[in-house]
Amino acid sequence: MGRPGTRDVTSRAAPIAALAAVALLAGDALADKPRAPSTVQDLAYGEVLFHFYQQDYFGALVRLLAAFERNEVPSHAAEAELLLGGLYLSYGQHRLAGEIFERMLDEHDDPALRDRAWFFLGKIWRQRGYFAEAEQALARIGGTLPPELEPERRLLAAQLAMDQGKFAEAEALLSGWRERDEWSGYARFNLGVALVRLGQTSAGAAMLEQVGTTPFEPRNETGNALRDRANVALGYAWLQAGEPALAKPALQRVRLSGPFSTKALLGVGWADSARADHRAALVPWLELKGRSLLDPAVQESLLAVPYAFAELGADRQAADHYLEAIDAFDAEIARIERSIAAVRSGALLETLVDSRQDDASGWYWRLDAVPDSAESRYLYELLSTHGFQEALKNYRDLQLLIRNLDAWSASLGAFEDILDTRRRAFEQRLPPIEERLEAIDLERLGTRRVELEAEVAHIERTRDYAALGSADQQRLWDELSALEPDLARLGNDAEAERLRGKQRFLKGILAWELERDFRFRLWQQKMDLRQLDLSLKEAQARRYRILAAKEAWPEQHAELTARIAALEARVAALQSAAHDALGRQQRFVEALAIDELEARRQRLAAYRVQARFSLAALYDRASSRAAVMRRAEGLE
Amino acid sequence: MVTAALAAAAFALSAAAQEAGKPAPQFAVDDAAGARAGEFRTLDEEVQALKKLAVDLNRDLFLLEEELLFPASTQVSVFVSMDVGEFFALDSIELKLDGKDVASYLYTDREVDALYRGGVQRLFAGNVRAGEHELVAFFTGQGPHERAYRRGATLKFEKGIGPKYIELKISDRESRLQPEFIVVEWE
Repeated sequence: MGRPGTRDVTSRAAPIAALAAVALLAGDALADKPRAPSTVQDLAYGEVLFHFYQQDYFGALVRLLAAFERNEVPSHAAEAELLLGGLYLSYGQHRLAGEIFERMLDEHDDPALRDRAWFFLGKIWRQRGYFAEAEQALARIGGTLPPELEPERRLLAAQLAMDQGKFAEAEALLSGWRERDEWSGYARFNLGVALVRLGQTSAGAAMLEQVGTTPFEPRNETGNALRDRANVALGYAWLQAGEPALAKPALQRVRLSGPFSTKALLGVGWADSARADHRAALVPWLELKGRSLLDPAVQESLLAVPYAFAELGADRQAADHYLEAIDAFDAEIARIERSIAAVRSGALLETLVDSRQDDASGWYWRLDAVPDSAESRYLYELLSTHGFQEALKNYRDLQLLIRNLDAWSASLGAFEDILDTRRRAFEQRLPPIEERLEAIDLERLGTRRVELEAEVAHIERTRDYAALGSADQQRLWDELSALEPDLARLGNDAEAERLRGKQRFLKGILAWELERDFRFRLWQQKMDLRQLDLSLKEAQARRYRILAAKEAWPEQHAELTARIAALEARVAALQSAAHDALGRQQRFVEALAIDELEARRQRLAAYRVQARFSLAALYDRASSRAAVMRRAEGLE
Repeated sequence: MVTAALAAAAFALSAAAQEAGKPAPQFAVDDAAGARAGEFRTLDEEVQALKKLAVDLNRDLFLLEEELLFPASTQVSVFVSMDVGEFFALDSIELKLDGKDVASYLYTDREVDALYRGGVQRLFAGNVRAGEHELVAFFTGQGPHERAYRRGATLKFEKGIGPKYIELKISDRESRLQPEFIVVEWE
């Protein structure tokens, strides 16, 4: 598709679109972006943008690839290539996107675009666990990231270091962080955690203390949750370091109603318990008892409460609580085993992924709300991990891919019908057309045209005015000319002379009229000849087209039939491969869930063993005490 | 990001909790997905490869579909674009080809926005014989001062051997503070 040369052309939309494709990866809503001027130079590129701007990324991707194939985007080659990279990325094709960015971006004259692209690619790669690739992408970023992304980049770099166990590097990356926003909060929190893991508890604790006591701006739930998380981490770090007195104030800063309250209450109890204040420890632990047994902290409190009672010497209450705990663990283990069975039966993925919901942003899909079912109730934390989400996304992508292939499979049948209809129509129409073609002798018409041209040339050369006169004029001319011999024979009398004079006069007038109109009539003849030329050429072109179509059709038909057959085979092969991959992906997602459930089951089983062991020890102690009592009574 | 920070914290917590209480094990959640990272990567690479095959297949199917439904020798496609569009809010377009209604399209806000940003919509694709044809488009929407606005634009065109592309372009005529509807033939 070329552009009409007469139009004034400006193209400003294209680079903006390419940038937007990259920006999309951050989850930015396009609606929030400034509007772009709209002229594009290639219609096909504009059509891709029409789908892209409506977040139909798959449609845009397919159209863009088709446009490349047909060379329909020559005026936007570079932007289109970048857009292709962005679209690949939005479709989860991070490898292909990376290759394009590598090829296109390093030489791109817009460093801001380049830096943003590498940033988002690095982010995606980290989410997918491609740490080395993510590091390389971040390393390519120059210095032009916008201020709102720069903190995230620094945090991302530190996270990557921590992901790979390079804690000292993470510390180096984060240590210069001074800002007081939420990102800096995350950064300091992560640095604190990293330092604790490096064994530098004091330094790590100082960092966590900072986060745990900072009022973040803006004040919202995210900031509060981060503070709670830091205080829990700090409390447990001190507990681990054998500093319960330092642990307790941090844990007590955690909100009682927040998502970290159970961990904090448990920790406060352990802090008291570590200082042998078992009575105080019972206060938070008994508070935990009333909460949901799904929470691991609550499960642990079922053991902690009787432990405290036993330490206080209240063996009967301790035994009652151990028995209660064993019952609760039994019931919970049975529930988890039912969940494991349900996950194995495939119910989990059915619950989590409803493939019928296929909105335009399908490939950006992420599971946000966890359905409340037997299979998913234990999996809240697992569902929030990148690993699980990305695996789930791949599973859903495969489902969408299979649906797409199923739809094409049905269409290919229709394509065969279309081709068949065209074949029949061609076969029906061809004989009458050929008949008509044979009836028209174009060659004879061509010869006649040549003769006509020669005649006109002769008339022009001989200035045969009468030849171009009207029919009446020609008849009159002939009549007047025919009179001449008769008039010549009349003799020389006055009457004869008068008649000859009249004839000459009339012929003269006619000659004058013919001469007057000659030039116009000659021009008209030439115009008619030209028109005849065009008509003959058109007729010949049509004839040629029909003959060419007749000749080409068998080949075209065979080529289209072969293409349909080849595509059918490709669709079938891909359907089969996608179904196999879907099965593997399903087993993988289920294995992740079962790993998680199994870990919970094993933990509860270990708790149960501990409870039984402690109960047995209590009974032993009681029976020893009774024996001592009996012996004492016997002595009396 | 939040999740990642949590995961990092959970690891520290698990280590801390392990030794904090005498009888109790840790409560932190294990990163089951992390433990299977290698397996994830193998499957991810497989899914990537399949998706690449699927995209290429879709491209080839798309091209075949167009060739079958609208062969170049008979194809006529009508596109809609918008340049600025300050003076006209598009609601719908009706299209007549040689006196016959061939398209009647009501726009959503999302579609108008996509046009506004530089998208070009293929409003109609059909087949016509070679020779002269007439296309008439009626644009309905809101004009300046929020007044109902309906305008028509006509194009007589010659269909040759190759595909015929026609662009209906809505733009602003700044000098008269009015919208302008232009029909452009592409080569």
